[in-house]
Amino acid sequence: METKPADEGKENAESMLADIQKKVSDAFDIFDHESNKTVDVREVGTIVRSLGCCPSEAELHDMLAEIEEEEPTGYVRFERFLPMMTRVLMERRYKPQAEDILLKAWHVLDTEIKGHLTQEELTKYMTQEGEPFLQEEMEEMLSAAMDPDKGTILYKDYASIMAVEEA
Amino acid sequence: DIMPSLTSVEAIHSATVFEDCVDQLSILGQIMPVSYEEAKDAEERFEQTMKQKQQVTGNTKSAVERRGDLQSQGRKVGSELKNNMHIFSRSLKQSPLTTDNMEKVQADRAFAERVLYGTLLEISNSGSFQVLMDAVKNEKDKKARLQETILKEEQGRKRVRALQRQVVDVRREKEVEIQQRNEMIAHLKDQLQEMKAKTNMEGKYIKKCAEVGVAQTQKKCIIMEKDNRSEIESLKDKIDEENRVNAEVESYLLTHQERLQKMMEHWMEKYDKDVEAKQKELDILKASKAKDLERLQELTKMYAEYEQVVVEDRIDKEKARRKAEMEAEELKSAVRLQSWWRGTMVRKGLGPYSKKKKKGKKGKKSGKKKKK
Repeated sequence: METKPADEGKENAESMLADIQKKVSDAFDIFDHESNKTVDVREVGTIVRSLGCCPSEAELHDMLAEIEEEEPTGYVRFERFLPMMTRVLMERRYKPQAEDILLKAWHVLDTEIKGHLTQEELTKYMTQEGEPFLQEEMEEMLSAAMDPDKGTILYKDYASIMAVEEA
Repeated sequence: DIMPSLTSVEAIHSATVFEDCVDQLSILGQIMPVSYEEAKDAEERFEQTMKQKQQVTGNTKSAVERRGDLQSQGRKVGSELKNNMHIFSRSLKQSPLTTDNMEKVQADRAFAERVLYGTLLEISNSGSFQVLMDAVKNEKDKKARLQETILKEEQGRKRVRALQRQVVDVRREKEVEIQQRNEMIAHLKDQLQEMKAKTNMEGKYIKKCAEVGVAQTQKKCIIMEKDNRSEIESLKDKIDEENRVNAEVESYLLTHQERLQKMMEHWMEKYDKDVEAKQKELDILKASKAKDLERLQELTKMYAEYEQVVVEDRIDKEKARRKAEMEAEELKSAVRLQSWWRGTMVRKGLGPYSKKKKKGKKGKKSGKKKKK
């Protein structure tokens, strides 16, 4: 849904830019609870992700650092958010990883090359390495990815299911 | 050769006839040499006699015929005798009575008389007539010989004529040939003359030629002699020079050799000294080499130990590096998966982004998105 306007935008750079700005504006408005063109800093990640991007926490942190006020207020203004987000979308940064790249990542974690990960392994990797999941996120992932009978994650099937749903 | 014989009767008949005949002939002989007229009479009488004789002969003939084949010879004799008589009579008629003829007639008559007489005697004695037959045969032979002679003579004459003709031809041919030969001789004489002249000229020419050749050769020889002499002289000069050069070179080489000898001695001395010195040096170096070798062994041992340590260290480092890489990779992968999952959760409205939290806003959001 989100990529369609961008594709159309290739034909006409200006209309594309307008589309993107409209999208960004709409997404921002959802979280602008007080309708004063500001959102909570903690909501920015959700906005960015809802716009079809998949930045890491570090990248998200960088983005926030770019758009935050000099004196942190806990809020981000639309004027600052729009140009940054427009640029990101125009440059097509932080796009969700392709299925094969994700599969490679899974392979890296599957050090014994079993073709699957156990619940313990996945939990360990997701909550102790990188940018650890919160309990809630972890549970959600397990519920989506794990084979409830065997207690294992057949990551290949999982990744492809998710990728198909993406498409 | 059965002797023809007659029966006694026949013999008597024949003897009678023959007797009569002989008588007549002798009578004729008696009258022959007489006068011309008498001769005429004699002729007439002779004719008569001949007629009688013919008759006799005819009788004889008839008698013989009766005797068949055995008497064929006698018959022949008779017939031929008759024939002879006929010819004889004709010749007599033709020719006048010349003395020659008369003589011949006389001779013939005498012959006939003699023969007939002989026959008569034989017949009367033995009944045969061999004498007559022999005489006839002789006569026949004689006649044959005569005829042969005549024939031969004729042929001889023909041949003579042919030969004469041939002689004429040959002579003509030869004359022509002689003429040709004469011409040939003349021609050859001319040629001879010519050849003589030519030979003369050629001789002169060759003589001159040879003289010139000799003169030329002589001149050449003289020139060559001169050249050779000058060459000999130059070679002599060269030999002298060579000798001189050789002497000088020899003396030079001798001095050089002496010098080299001295130098060699010097070098030999030096060589001995040097060898000694080098030997000493070599001994020292050998000693030092042994020491160095010892040291090298020690160092090698040490190097091996150190190397072991270094390798181990490297392996450790490599392991560490790999582990770090792995960890980095794992971290990266984890971050990637976490980022992806967070994005996915937001977009799918899962977990913390489920409807519970954003009840009010959800309708707004989805409505707007669907419009796009």
